[in-house]
Amino acid sequence: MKLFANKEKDYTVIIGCGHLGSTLATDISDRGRSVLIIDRDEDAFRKLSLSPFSNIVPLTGDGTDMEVLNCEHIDKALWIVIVTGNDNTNIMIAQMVKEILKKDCVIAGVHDPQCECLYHEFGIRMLSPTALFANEVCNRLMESSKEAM
Amino acid sequence: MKKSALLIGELNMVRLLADSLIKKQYKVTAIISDYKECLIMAENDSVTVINGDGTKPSILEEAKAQNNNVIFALLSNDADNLVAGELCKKKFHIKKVVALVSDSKKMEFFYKMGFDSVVCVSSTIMCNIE
Repeated sequence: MKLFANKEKDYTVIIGCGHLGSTLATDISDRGRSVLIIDRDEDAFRKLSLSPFSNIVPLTGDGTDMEVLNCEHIDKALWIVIVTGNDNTNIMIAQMVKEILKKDCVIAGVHDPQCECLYHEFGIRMLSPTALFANEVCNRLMESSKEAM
Repeated sequence: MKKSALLIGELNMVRLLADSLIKKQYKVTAIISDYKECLIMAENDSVTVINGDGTKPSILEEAKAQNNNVIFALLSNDADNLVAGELCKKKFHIKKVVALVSDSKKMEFFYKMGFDSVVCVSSTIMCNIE
């Protein structure tokens, strides 16, 4: 299966097509970049607008399965973003990609920052939507209280 | 001094292993996420039972994970067992970590991540058949 034969080093793999994964895939595609999005539930791809002009390729498969991760598309991807709905699953996939496929270009989403130490230990880039939201709300509150003074 | 073991998992698996370990003179602590299952487990006075998610550092701290000689990650999800085991190794410095995996293809990966023993039920059954 040659999904991105012409520009094989210029695509992103997203594992997990929930709200976060589908929004991210659409954003990247709108900027003219190719995306391979993987989810074990085919229905999850209904969140995407897969027009003939879209740069998104959906692939049904379990992101925790070694056979899915070992495929050449993951190996050749520019970035791999892991945003399934489960923090522990994200940690496991990120570690599998890093330790077995020896790829450093991994970003994993984690909602509960409690397990942050595991990301640091294994050198995995982590982004917490919870921390980002809290930080943004906090900044806005500080800004509005400054304006009120 | 009595040896200590921490078991993380669902009632059926934890109960069976807890009985065996108590017979071998181990002090046993169990972390079970389902409250009703905790109540059943707590009927055994020899076991200290903690209700919560054993993949969270705060719950492992509450269970005094660092005081154990061995932990058994027996949850039904491989990712949960990986995270529970790694936290015990890296954060709580437990010497021996044993995990259950359901996907035999992940056994090698678990060993690579520092687990001391990895048990796969389907592989064990296959070994017996062969």
